[in-house]
Amino acid sequence: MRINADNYEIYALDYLEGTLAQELVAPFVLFLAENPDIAELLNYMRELPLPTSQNGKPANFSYLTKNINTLTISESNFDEMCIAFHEGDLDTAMQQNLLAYINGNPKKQNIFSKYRQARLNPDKSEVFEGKKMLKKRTSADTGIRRIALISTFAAAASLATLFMFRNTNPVTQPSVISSVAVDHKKVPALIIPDTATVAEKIKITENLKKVSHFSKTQVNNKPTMLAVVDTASDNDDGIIIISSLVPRSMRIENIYLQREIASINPQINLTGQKTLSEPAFRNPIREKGVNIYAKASQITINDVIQTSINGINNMVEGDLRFESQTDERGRLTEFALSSETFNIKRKIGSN
Amino acid sequence: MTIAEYNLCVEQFADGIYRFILKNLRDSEQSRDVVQETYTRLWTRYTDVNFDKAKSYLFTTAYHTMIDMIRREKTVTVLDEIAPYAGTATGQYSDLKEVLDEAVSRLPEIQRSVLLLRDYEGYNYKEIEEITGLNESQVKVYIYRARQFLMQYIGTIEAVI
Repeated sequence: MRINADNYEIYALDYLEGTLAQELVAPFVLFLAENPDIAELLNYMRELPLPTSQNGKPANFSYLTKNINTLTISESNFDEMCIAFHEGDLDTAMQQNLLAYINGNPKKQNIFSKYRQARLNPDKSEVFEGKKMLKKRTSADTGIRRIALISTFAAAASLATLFMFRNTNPVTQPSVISSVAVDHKKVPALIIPDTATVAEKIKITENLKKVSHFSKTQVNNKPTMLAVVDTASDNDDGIIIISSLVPRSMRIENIYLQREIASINPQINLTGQKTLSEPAFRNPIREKGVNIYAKASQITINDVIQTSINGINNMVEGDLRFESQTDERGRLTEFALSSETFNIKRKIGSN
Repeated sequence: MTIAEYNLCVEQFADGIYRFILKNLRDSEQSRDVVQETYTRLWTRYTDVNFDKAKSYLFTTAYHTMIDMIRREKTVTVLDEIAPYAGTATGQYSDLKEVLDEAVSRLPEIQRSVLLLRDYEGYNYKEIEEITGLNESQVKVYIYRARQFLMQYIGTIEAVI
């Protein structure tokens, strides 16, 4: 085996102790000549007193090439026997022999006890704080979390639509496509392309967190909302919106996209609630030449959500369905979000 | 493995990996980076990794990520961190744990790693062989040498106290 920076430690101690196999000495010395920093380290280590056995000679643990249970316990191998005892390497008979040997040599009891003490216990108070960040959403989680994400769907779909109007070419690189106004605040928006790998998505997510941190953009005095549309998802409905970037406390009522949607992109074709079902509207990409605007006052949150669902389905050929009920003032009172794999029904305010 | 099993891996093993790396690097920020990198790598191929083998996969990945990190930061920095052991110790210790912590910090990197895998995680020689890439005899020798060093260090401290 060629000695290199990845494996030199295997040979280093033997080299320092003078027990390195003869045929390896020359290659190891050559390696040190080519790696002066490592040579410097070994020279430093050479000056450190190496652990020695009780008789003062370097420990060589010669039994490791033999069966320790066949050896006779003696002064010279007593340390090895003690370690082997505590490592569970001795058979029952040899364990008894060792204990008998210690009883016959009381001074050895202290050494034996110290080997028992020389075991490490982990400090359970040292924990990794970022477990939540490492975890991934399951399909079940996805279904539940959609309730909190409906508001994000609105923004995401709008962003997607916005993106598509600007550039109908396939997305090949992740990029910040625009700032989008949400409740009169500018919020960065980004689309992750179909070709992004998981590692890239994680990296992008981390970068977005930094953007969020530094931009200090707020929506309704809540942290920045960053809408991330992941069209490469392997999830049930073909889309993931990275929810960790969206304040979960943000409720549907807090999103005023319906007041802003016309200003996000004047090319978005909103024809008002009554005409949302028109085929032309279902595919805003094809109809981008149509230039009909709805007045903000005519657009309800229901419209925005429906628009979002349409946009998402349009993007990913999904099958998300949204149904809702409103009160006499047109406010959303109940909704159901469903696909082939889940069906969520909630009353507004019931959580 | 499924996503749920991946999440279970995070719950069950992240703390242990973090402690193992932290004890080696003695730098919490770098240790967190290693844990994150380790799980990122698992996530990129979680469908290929059997849940039963996940712990071993994680520790193996974490170990090699740590080694890469140490090497990137130059061996010289490791040299700086090694306090010469002159056969005596003069530090102030309140209990055996502190003594052992100090002794472990003075072990060569490879001995420290195999000893921590042995004591913290209860891995047997064969499993440590798979994680570190050493052979079984080397693992044994390193553990025995480390154990002997710890015993002598404890004895030295007792003599000082």
